[in-house]
Amino acid sequence: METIVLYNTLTRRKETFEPLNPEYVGMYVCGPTVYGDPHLGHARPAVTFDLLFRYLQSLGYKVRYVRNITDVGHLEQDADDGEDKIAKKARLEQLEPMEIAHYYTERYRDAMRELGVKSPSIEPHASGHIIEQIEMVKRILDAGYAYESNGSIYFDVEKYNKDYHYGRLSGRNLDDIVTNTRELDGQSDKHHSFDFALWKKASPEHIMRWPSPWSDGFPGWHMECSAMSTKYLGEQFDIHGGGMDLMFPHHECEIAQSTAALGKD
Amino acid sequence: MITINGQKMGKSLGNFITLEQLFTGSHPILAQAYTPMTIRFFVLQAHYRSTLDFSNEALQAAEKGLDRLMKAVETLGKIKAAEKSTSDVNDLERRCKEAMADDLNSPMVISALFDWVRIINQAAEGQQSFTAADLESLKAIVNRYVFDILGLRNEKAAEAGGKDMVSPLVEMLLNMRMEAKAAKDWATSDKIRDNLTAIGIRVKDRKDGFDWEIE
Repeated sequence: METIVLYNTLTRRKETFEPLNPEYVGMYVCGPTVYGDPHLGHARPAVTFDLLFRYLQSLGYKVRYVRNITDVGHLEQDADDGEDKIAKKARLEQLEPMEIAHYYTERYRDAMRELGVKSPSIEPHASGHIIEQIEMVKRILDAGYAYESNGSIYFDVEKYNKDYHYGRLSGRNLDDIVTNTRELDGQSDKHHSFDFALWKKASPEHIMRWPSPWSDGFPGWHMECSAMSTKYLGEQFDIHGGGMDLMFPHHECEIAQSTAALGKD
Repeated sequence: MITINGQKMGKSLGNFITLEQLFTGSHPILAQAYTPMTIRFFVLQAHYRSTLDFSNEALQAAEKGLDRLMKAVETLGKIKAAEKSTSDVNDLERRCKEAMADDLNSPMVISALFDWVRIINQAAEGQQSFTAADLESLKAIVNRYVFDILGLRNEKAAEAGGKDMVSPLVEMLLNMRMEAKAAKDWATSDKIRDNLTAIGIRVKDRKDGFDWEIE
C-alpha cells in the first residue's frame, strides 16, 4: 500500500497513516443533528470525509465508514440543560420528534446525494442505541469516573484528569478550563460546572425519554458517539473525524468517556 | 472553518444559507443559483484544514473553473491518437498522487488537472499530440481523479443527455399518433395521447401538427 500522511489533531502534525489492521480502515465521523435543513456547515465536512473515503478505497483499503445521525440528546446551546433541539422543533411544528428526525435525515441524505457524497457504510441513529449508551454509562460509573446526582449521571472531570489528561485533543488543561467557567449557582446537580452529562433525568415536559437504572431520561449528547463507534469499529479504530467546531467540548468529552469506560488511552 | 463574505455564518447574522437555497439561489445574499457540483468543487479547491470563505465571486469562479474542467474531459474523448506524445502523461499521475498522499491536498490535485486542461486544449488544436496508449492512460488518470476521487460529475452532460432522450422519444410517439389519425385509427391515437398524459406529458393538437410539454 502507498505511503500517505494525514494530519492528526491529537499531535498537531502530519503523520504517516498506518491502520491497525493492514488493508482495513475504520473511520467514524460525526454526522448531523437532524432538526433543520442541511446548510453550508454540513457540506464541508461531508465533502472532506467523502474525499478521504473515496481516496482510501481507491488505494485498495476496505473502509468501514460510520457516520451517525444525532436524533436525541443534543440540547440547545450544546449544553447540559435546556430543551432537546429536535423536541423543540417538534413542538414548534406540532409533530412527533421522530417525524422531525426522519424528515431532516431524508433532507440531509438528499442534499448529500446531490453533492456526490457517498453513503457511509453504516449510519447509526443515537435513538437506536440507547441500550449501548446505558451500558457504557454503567462502565464509566463502575470505573469510578462518574457520579449520580438526582437521577442524572455526570462525568467526573476532576477525577478523570488525575489519571488521564482531560483536554489533550483541544490543547487545554483543566486549570484553564476552571478559570474560564463560571461557578455553579447552586441550582445544578453537577459537582462542577465543567462536568458533563452522561445521562439526564427527564423533566416532566421532556417527551424523548427512556427507562434506565437511574431515571427515565435520555443520554448526554457526547455519549452516542462513544457507544456507537465502539460498537461498530471496536475499542480502537483508525480515524475519527468531524468539523473543527466539534473539537471542544464534543470530541474532548468523547475521548474522556471512551478512555474512562475502556480503561485505556 | 467556513465563513461567508469573511463573516461567521449564523442565524442572527442573516447569512445562514441552506444547501437548498444555494442550489436554487433563493437567499437574498446569493446573486444566482449554484449547482451542487459547483459547491463541491469550491470546497475541494481549498485544503480541508484552511478557512473556506463563501462569496458570490468565489462561487462564480468555481463554476467557471468546473465548466472548463468538464469541457476538457469531453475534449479529451475526441482527441485522435498520433505517432508520438509531446507531453508526459505520467507527470499528471505523479502530481495528483503526491498531492493526495500529502494530507489530502485537493487544491494541488486541481492545480495539476488545470495544467493538463491547458495541454488537452492544445492537443485539440493540434499543438500537442499523444499516442493511442498515452491517450488511454491520460483518460484513465483524469477519470480516476476527477470522478472517482474528487467525486465530481458532469452535470451539464447529464442534463443534456436526459433532455436529448426525452424529446426524440416523445416526437416519435406523436408522429406515430399523427399517422394513426391519418389512418382514422382513433383507438391508437387516443391511447398514445392518454398514456402520455398519464406520465405527465400534455399533448396539444395544432392545425399543422402537435405541441407538447412536460407538466
